[in-house]
Amino acid sequence: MKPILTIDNLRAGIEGREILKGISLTVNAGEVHAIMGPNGSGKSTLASVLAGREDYAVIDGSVRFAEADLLEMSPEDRSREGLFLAFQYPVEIPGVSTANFLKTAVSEHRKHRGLPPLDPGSFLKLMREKMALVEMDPSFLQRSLNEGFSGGEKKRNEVFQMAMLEPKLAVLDETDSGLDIDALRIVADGVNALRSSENAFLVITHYQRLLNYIVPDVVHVLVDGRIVKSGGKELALELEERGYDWIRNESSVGA
Amino acid sequence: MVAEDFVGTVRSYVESTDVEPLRREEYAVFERLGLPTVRHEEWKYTNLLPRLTPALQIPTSTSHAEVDETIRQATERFGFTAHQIVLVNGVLAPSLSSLPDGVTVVPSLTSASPRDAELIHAASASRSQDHAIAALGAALAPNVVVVRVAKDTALTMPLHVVRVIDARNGAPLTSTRMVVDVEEFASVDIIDTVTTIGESATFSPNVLDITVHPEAKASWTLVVDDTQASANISYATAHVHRSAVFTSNTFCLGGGFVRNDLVIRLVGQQAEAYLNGLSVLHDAEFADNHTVVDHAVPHCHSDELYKGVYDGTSTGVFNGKIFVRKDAQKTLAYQSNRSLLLSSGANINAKPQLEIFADDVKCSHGATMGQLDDEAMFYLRSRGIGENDARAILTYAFAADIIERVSNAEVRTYLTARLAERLGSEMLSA
Repeated sequence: MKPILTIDNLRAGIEGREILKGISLTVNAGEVHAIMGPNGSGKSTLASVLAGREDYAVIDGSVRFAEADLLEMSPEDRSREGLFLAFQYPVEIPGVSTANFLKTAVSEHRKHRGLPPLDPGSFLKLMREKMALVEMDPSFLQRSLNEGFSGGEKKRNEVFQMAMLEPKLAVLDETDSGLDIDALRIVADGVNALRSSENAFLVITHYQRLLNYIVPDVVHVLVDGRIVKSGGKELALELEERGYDWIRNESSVGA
Repeated sequence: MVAEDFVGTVRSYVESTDVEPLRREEYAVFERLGLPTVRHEEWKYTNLLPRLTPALQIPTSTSHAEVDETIRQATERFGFTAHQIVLVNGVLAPSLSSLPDGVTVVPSLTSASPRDAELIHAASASRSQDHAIAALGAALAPNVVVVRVAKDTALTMPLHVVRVIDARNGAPLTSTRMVVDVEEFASVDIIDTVTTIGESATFSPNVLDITVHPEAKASWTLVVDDTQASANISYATAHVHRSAVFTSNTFCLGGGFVRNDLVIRLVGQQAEAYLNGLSVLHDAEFADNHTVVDHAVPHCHSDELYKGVYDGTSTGVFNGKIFVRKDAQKTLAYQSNRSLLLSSGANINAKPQLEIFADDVKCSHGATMGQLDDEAMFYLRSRGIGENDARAILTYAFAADIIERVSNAEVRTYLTARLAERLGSEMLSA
């Protein structure tokens, strides 16, 4: 099996506070891993550190992405190398149209691979194709990025961008939060359509319901900055049923 | 000492034989008021003295400007579909100019038609007599551009006043004066650009007086995009009459020293004024915009939005006054000033000022200043867009809505390309 992401004893924090207290996990090509955990367990911190958000400091440990040292790379290089973060709170950017934004992003990705920009016709065709995947109306292309979008539209836009950039590893940071059941299904269908034996997904969520649609190969439970339990998809169901307390108790007994 | 030498240079010029009485009267106003210093409230942040280098010289008057290849090229960079008036150091270059009907360039009042002479006198008389630099500009201008748009007519194309300042041999002290009269139901679209060739210092106080008669429309787009050694000052007054519309677009995309005064008087009911401004500065550039909107009568509407992007150690000044006179009920007056500071060395001094004497009006003003949003930067970078490009994209987005307010598509395209160039991103211009 080909590892795409290898996290080894990662410790990281923000403003002098350690949040991730030694995380290790390996995601192989073709796999979907879910990271579940209660609020404040460090789920979003992990996503932020992987994407390279600069307010977070890595204290120890390593992250290898494909063949490279992820932590040495700028956020833009991580993206160009095939890492994608679907934001929990996508940012509204007035004055920048979704189409121009994506044209720039896709051109940068292509340049990184030594390819010329797509001609306008092919690019438009590609955008329409990928928008259909998440049932987005083409009128969104000319609108300012995320500005005035509903919560569901923003999340669909994240998956649309993911489809355009075809990452090796996509990190979905609570992409399910704030979605009604229809939007959840659309987003999940979009993600499933992108799954292949060459890429992998790290799905961060508080609730199990998204995992009914995006079925994980491995579920990790993150509590207080540590992975306290890993298992198959049935672990998610157990968490849904029993909450997080039993596992917290179990892990503190174990420690 | 510097100031005295400067005044001396101007005095000996206006006392020479070929300067007419009206220009001497303007000079007298200038001399009476004296050069403004930073002790003057309206010049608090704007120090003229460093710009008054002893090297400044008033070019010898000629009947028309000689044109060489460099000057020609400087006028060709715009490529607007327009009637073009090229002035080199304030003097008409006939070989590069095409004046439509109603537009004249007057070298002296004695040679002007009685109507033009009357307009010029009226403009001098109506300008407020408290601005020394405006009077200086009117005293110095070797020519007066008179634009008269006859009742019920519109020019077939915009009028592009191409000011070229030749600073290749010596440091010119020169100005351009324009008087614009838009008669009832007429309309005109004026584009006003300034380009310096050569690297010597310049000092150019320009004056525009514009009257928009009832039901007429006028727009004036000023683009200062000039050298580091240049000093461009503009003093513009617009009188807007009943149901007339005046739009000003003021762009500063470069220049060592820029000061713009814009005074709009809404003197007829239902007059409208739109004031748009954008300064994009870097290095040690300086741009000061002073605006006055005077609501003298009821039922008028003014809407002002000035934005500034300041990088390096550049400095911006914004001072926006709105007066709503006692009788000016039902006034709508809005003003907004937004600044983006891209470096810790950049400065903005913003002062909105509303003086409202009527009680049934809708007025608002606001000033914001800030930096690029970190979250937005990270969002763009997380999609593979490099740091510099991400900065350029966000800055561009901040600034571009002012360009979108310009009605002329060619001017918009030009400004957009210059903005992209200035922000240093190839991606934006593609």
